[in-house]
Amino acid sequence: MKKLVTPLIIIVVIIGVLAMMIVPRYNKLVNADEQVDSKYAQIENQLQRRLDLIPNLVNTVKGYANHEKEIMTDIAESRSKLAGANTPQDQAIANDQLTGALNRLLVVVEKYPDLKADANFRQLMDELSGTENRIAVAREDYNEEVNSYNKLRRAFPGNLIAGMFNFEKKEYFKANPNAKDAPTVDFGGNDSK
Amino acid sequence: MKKITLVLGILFTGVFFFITSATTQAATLPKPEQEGYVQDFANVVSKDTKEELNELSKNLEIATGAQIYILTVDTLDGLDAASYGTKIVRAWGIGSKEKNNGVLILASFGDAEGDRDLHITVGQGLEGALPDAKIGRILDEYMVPNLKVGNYDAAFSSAYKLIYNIVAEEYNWDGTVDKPVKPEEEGLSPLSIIIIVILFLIIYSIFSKGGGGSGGSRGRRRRIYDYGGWGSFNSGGPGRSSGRSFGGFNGGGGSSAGGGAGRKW
Repeated sequence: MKKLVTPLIIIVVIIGVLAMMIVPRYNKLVNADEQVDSKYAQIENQLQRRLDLIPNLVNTVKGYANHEKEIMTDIAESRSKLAGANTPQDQAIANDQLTGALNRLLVVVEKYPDLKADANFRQLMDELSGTENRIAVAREDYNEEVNSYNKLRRAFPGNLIAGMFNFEKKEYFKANPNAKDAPTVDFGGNDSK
Repeated sequence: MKKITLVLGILFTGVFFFITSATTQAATLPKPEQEGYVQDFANVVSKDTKEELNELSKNLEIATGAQIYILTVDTLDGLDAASYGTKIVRAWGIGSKEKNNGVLILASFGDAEGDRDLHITVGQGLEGALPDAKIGRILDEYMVPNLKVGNYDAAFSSAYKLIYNIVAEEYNWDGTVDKPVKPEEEGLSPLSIIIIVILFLIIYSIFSKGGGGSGGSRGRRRRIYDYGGWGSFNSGGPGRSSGRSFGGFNGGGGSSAGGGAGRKW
């Protein structure tokens, strides 16, 4: 009888230790997963706000500068691209394109002092650059969370748990996933990093 | 056993230093080391204005929990004012932690490219009362015109008071102050030119007749020149020392999601 008790105790201890290692890690992963999702929701909120503001802007600009067709189609196109984007990376690319189009609009606007002075236009531009700032902040927050989540997921024993419970790798909100490749086209996005 | 604790101790201190050095390295932001709510690192705000705004800020915080800070710097270290401001609000914890009701008026006064930047950063808790467009209007109508002509006190004081009033109203607190005067537009408006011409004609006609009414008309003339000036606000003699009675900085742990608006000036 005594011979059986010792191995049993050892097995129980091993299981106990494993559980002590796994459970907190699992909870941590769940936590990090939720954090990533909530930060992502904040990006999406701001992207949506941006999408909603664009038609107003287009209407206001049309009143003053009706023959600036090219820039207006640019904006409309990048807007619909952003609306159709699904993955963080696609959204990041589309968002940068929209930012670029809006910056080009600001250059065009210089030719129209009346439009520049229009109170409605100024408000819209403030709101738009406000959403741009918020997106920049939210994307930084999101990428930080993704970074710590992915680290947790890859480090031992998180990698085992992630494999067992199917925690998938999260994608960064970045237009260019390979930071080494210098972007050939600068859309003039003014995020700080 | 002793050896193990020693090794562990060394390891932990090593890790500790590593962590702290990593966090300090990430933040090249100024520390709120000056007294009060006006952190004037660029030395552009006068002592009287500082005392007045500190006093207002203190009252506002006591009454509503909201914090309004002013920060002036010489350089933004290559950042734009919007992200610099957001980083400061987060690092200093402006506003209360639960309500995120902090506001930061940030302006940089450097000579380098991009260092004449300006941003008013708003915590999420006040984004409803202070939407970006409203901030933009305050910048356009009050702050930028004053900054451009070097009226730094007026620039900060007017933007500050407008925001202060909006925050006070948001919390249904009756501590609002007088609305600041809108700065005169650059140059003389057509109307004032006409008035000056008419006055000149009147004076000329008086002088040419040799009359003695010149004193009165000169007085009138001076009033026109004074019109563009900034009506300074005095908190009164005895209140002077009260601005110093409170201690150093204490941020409430607030944050910002990047709300607000900015301008190059």
